[in-house]
Amino acid sequence: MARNDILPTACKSFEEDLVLFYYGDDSAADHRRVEVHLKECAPCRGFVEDLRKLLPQMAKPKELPPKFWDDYYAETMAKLTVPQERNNWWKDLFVPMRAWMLPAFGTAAVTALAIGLVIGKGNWRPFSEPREKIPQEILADTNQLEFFRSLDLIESLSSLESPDGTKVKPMSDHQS
Amino acid sequence: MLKRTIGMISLCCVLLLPVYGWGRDGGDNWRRLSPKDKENVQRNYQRWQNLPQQDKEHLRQEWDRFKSLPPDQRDKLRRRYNEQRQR
Repeated sequence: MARNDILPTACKSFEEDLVLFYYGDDSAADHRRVEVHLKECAPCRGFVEDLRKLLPQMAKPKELPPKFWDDYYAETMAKLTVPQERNNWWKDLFVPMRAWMLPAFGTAAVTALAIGLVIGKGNWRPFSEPREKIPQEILADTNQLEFFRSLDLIESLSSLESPDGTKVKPMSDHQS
Repeated sequence: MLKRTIGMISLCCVLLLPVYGWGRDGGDNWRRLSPKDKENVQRNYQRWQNLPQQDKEHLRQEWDRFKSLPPDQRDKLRRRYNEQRQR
């Protein structure tokens, strides 16, 4: 739309040829053909005239010295490298240890927990301390321990349940 | 191969933990007893070993009957037993 406001409409079939004609990038045959056409076609002549007026006014890109491009390249590469190093330094630190660190720390943590529980629960006994020799029949379970603890009471159970409450006589007394 | 062996040993240890805990329970209960209670238990155990088989069975039956009583009745019997011993 804007282009139509600036340049007059040229023949559709000659538009590309006219641009090439202006720049001198067309072949000799095309050049002659466009020249012949321009003598006969006013809108195309106007199109080429406008190209001659407008295109030189367009700003030429500023020529930058090679040093600028070298510095630009170095600066860009530096910017790309620094974040990568910032993200990876700690990962690089752990890379050699990563294979064994997790199981090692896991095992150490479980061991520490087990030792802590044993000592904390009061089960820890130094090896030099003499251990009590308790028959396993007593220690088999809580029921056994309670049974031997309450043996006197069990022996007297019948008399305890009687309404008159006969005096307790453990079985050991009967035997002796 | 080594991994599998370690895995199997770990699994066995984990499975044995409840057994170990069950085994430790008796020891824990024993340690919680007072010296007087310990002495009483050991004395009763020695006495129990010397009892005839018939008396042992009778006492087991009495123990089972005592455990099947309601808690308040058991407490009552214990109190009565302690009172009679102190007389």
